[in-house]
Amino acid sequence: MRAERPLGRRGFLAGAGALAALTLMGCATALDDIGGSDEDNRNFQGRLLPQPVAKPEVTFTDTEGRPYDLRTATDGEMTMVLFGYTSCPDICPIHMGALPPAIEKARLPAGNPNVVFVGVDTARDTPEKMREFLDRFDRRFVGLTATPEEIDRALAEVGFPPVVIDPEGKGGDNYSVGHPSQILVFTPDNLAHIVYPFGTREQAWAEDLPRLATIDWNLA
Amino acid sequence: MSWWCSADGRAWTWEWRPYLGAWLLVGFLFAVYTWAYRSDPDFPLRRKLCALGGIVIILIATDWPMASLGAGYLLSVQMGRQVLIVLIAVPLLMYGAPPVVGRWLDGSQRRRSVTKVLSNPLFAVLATSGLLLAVNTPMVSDRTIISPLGSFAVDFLWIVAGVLMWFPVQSPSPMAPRLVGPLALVYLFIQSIAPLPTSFFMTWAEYPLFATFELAPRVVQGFSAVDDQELASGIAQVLGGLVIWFQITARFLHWAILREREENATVPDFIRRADARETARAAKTDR
Repeated sequence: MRAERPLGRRGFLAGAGALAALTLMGCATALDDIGGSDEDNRNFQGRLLPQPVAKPEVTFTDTEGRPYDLRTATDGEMTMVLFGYTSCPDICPIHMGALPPAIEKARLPAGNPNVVFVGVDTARDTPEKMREFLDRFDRRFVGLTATPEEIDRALAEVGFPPVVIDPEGKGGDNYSVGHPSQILVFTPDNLAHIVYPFGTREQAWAEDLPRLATIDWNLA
Repeated sequence: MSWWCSADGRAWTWEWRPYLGAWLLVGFLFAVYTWAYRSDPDFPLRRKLCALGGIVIILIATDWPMASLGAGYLLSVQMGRQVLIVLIAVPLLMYGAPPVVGRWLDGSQRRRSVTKVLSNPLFAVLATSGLLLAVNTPMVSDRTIISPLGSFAVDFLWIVAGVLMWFPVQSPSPMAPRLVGPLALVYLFIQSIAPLPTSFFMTWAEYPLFATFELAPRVVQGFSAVDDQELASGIAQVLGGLVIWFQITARFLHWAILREREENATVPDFIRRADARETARAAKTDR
């Protein structure tokens, strides 16, 4: 007679092994959802838009208080635009934080692209606060704002939904703001053919930017 | 209240968020050790205190804030957790393991066979390195630490890696052939260089390797994911190396002192024979 219970022990070990294997290899991750297939995206790591969109025809105000026409100020230059807000706890600072090292590593022959941050939380995104926020990443980043109506119009022109202020937070100073989490990239043809969702990594930017700077979309 | 730490993507706050699982784990360890000490009342207090230290370190490494920061925000803190668990807490717990554990390990042929395998230094080096390498790959890390279960698996595997690593030199089984003296030092030296490939990639990678830490809300402004990665590599190499080299030094001194006492305790044969001849000659002269 065996005093041991080998089956029970084997079962335990098999169960522990299976648990470890499942948790290590099989855990579902949202990270896999980022980006479409390479074939759909012509090997870009962002998402190609079904139709290219033009820069919004809205005159914004920059952090110096001067009017800023996105179309004329960035004409013929690669321009990356994020509609966000400076109090954003996650998406905006993470997106913006990935850009400076990626741009540096991309080493674009035509020079650095314009990075434009449109502050959609007009109550809190004052010029000073926006400048302070952007300087944390790069002093060359452009901060823009406009009236809520103009911002919503600009968003509609590029096919994004309007800004949503958390109704529970209205009136207080600690509220969240619903805003597009993608960065629109306008290539030198002054059209945006591609967006980069939240979760785009530094390496993806550094690999895509040189191609975006030189691509001829008519031939691509 | 989550039962275990994980990366949840929320902005970091210093608001206290204890993890139920961490407290249950240390409570379980404390209860088991306390119960085990009751059957071995003569067990040295020093060893009991070491085990208590190990339990406290397990709590520090698996509860807020260290676990939250490590699992969801900073790779450097995650590496600090690994060093704490694998290199400090587990050996302390093994040093403080009461004799009843050793008796249990020697209680059956099957357990003795397992103990023999675990005591094999080559197996220990390969198993520890393989396990830590697997846990620290972006593919595994990014997929596990985003859920409490996955993060728990990582922490559990760290404990397993710690047991595997220290078993050849700190086996609680009196029957297991423990490495002592220079062999133990060589074994620990090899274990100190085993994690270098992982650290190498972390140090020299041009881009952040781990999506979880790259895309996590920043805890310290201006401290980029690459900076964090380099610090993590430094912690794994320097802090981890220091812990192992402290062990090597302590074990060397211990071995050297014992050897010195042993050497001086007995008079070598040739001296004893010479002394005997001298005594005999003196006696003959006296006559």
